[in-house]
Amino acid sequence: MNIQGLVFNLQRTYFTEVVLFLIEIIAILIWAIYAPKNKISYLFFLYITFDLLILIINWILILQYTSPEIKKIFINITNTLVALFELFVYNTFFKQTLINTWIKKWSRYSFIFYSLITVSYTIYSLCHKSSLNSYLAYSVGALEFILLLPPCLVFYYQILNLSVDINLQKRPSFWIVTGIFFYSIISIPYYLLTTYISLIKHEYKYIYEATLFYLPFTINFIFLIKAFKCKKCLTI
Amino acid sequence: MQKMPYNIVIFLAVVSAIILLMLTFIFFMTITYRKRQNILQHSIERIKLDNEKVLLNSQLEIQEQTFQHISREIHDNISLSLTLAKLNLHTFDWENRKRSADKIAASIDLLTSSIAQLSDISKSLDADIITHHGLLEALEKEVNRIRKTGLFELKFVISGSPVYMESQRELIIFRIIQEAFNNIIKHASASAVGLELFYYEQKLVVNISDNGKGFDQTNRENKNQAGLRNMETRTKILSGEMNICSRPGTGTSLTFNIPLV
Repeated sequence: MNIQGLVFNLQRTYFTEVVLFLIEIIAILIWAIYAPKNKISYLFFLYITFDLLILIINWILILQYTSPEIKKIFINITNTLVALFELFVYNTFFKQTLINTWIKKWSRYSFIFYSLITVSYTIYSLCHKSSLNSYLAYSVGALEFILLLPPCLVFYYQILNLSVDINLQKRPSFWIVTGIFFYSIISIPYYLLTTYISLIKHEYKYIYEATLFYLPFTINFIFLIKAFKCKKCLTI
Repeated sequence: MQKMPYNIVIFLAVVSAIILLMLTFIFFMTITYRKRQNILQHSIERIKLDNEKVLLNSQLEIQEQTFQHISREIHDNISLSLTLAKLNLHTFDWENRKRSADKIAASIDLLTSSIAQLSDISKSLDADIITHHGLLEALEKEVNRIRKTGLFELKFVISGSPVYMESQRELIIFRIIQEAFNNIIKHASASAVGLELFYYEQKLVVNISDNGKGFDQTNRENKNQAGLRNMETRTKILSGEMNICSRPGTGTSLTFNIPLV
C-alpha cells in the first residue's frame, strides 16, 4: 500500500483534499439529520455521495500504485461524469427555484447543450491523441461553470426584487446558489489557466490546485451544509 | 525546503482573500436584502392603510346616505302624515258624527302609514345590512328607495349564479353602485337607468347605464371627475377594472369587472 505516496499527494495540495473529504462526510450526516427529504434534496445527497466516492477511489488508486495513464483516464472520465451530474442537479434546482421562464428554459437547454459537447469531446479525445486534448478537457470543464452563472445572477435579482418574509440567512436557496456561484467564478479561470500553469509555472501548480479548485469546492459543500441546516425546503 | 514556507504564505494569503471576498459578498447581500424587505414591508403597510381608509370612508358614506335618506323620509312623508293627522284631530267636530268618523278613519290611515314608514326607517338604520343580508338584498332596498322617488325608471337585472363574497368586498361594490346612482341623480337628467349584475365563474360584471345627457370624458373640469375617481380607486382595491363609455347627448355606461376572489 502506497501510504507514503498518498500522504505526499495530500501534502502537495496542503491537505485541502482531506478537508474536502471531511466536509463531504459532514454534509452527508447533516443531510440525513436536517434536510427535508424530497427530490431536490435527494439529488444533492447523490451529488455529494458521488463526489465522495470518486475522491475515495482516487485515493485507493494512489494507494494501489496504479499507473499514471490509468489514473489520468479515471480522472478524465470521472471529471466528465461529475460535471454532467453537477450541472443536472443544479439545473433541476434552478428550474424549481427561479420564476423567470426564460432562465428555466436556459437551464433545460444548457444541460442538453453541455451533454452534446461532452459526448463530442469524449469521442474526439478517444479518436485523436494530442496535447490539445488536455486543454480541450479543461475548456469543457470551464463551460459547465459558464453555463451555471446566468441562473445564479437571475436568482440574486429575484431574491432582491421578490421579497419573502424570511430572513436571508434562513433561506436554503441563498446558500446553495452562493456556494455554486463562488465555485463557478473561481473555477472558470482555474480551468482555463490550469494547462498553462502546469506547463509554464509548474512550481505554482499545487497552490493553484489547492486554492482555486479544492478550496472553492469545499466551500460549496460548506454552504450546502448551511442550506441543509435551515431545515426548510431547499428551493425556498 | 526554503520554498515551502513561502508557498504556504501564498496559499494562506489566497485562501484568506477568497474567504474575505465571500464574506463581503454575503454581508452586502444581507444588507441589500434587508433594505428591500423593509421597503416592501412599508409599501404593504401603506397599501393596507390606504385600503382601510377607503373602506372606512365607504362605510361612513353609506351611513351618511342612510341618514340623509332618513331625514328626507321623515321630512317629506312622516312629518306630513303626522301633521295631517294632527289637523284632522284638531278640526274634530263633535256635532257632526259622520264627518268626524271620516276624519278619525283618515287619521288612523295616516298614523298607520307613518308607523310603517318608521318601521322601514328603523330597518334601514341597520348599517350592517350587507354583513347580515348580503349585497343583493342591500341593492334591492336601494333600488326600491330610488324607484319611490319617481325620478326615473330603474331596471335591475341579475344574471348567472350569485355568490356571496367577503362582506368588505360587497360593501365596496355597494358603495360604487350607490356613487354611480348619486351621479345619475345629480347630473344625468336621465329618464331610464339600468343596473345589471352578471355573475360569472371567476368574476362579477356590474353595468350601470342611463339615457341621460352624458359627458365629455376628456374634459378635466368635469364635475363628475371626483366621483369617477372615487369609483376607480374602489374598483382597484377590489383588483377590478372600470370602463366608462359616455359622450354628450348619448347617455353613460359604467362597467366594472370585479374578480370574485
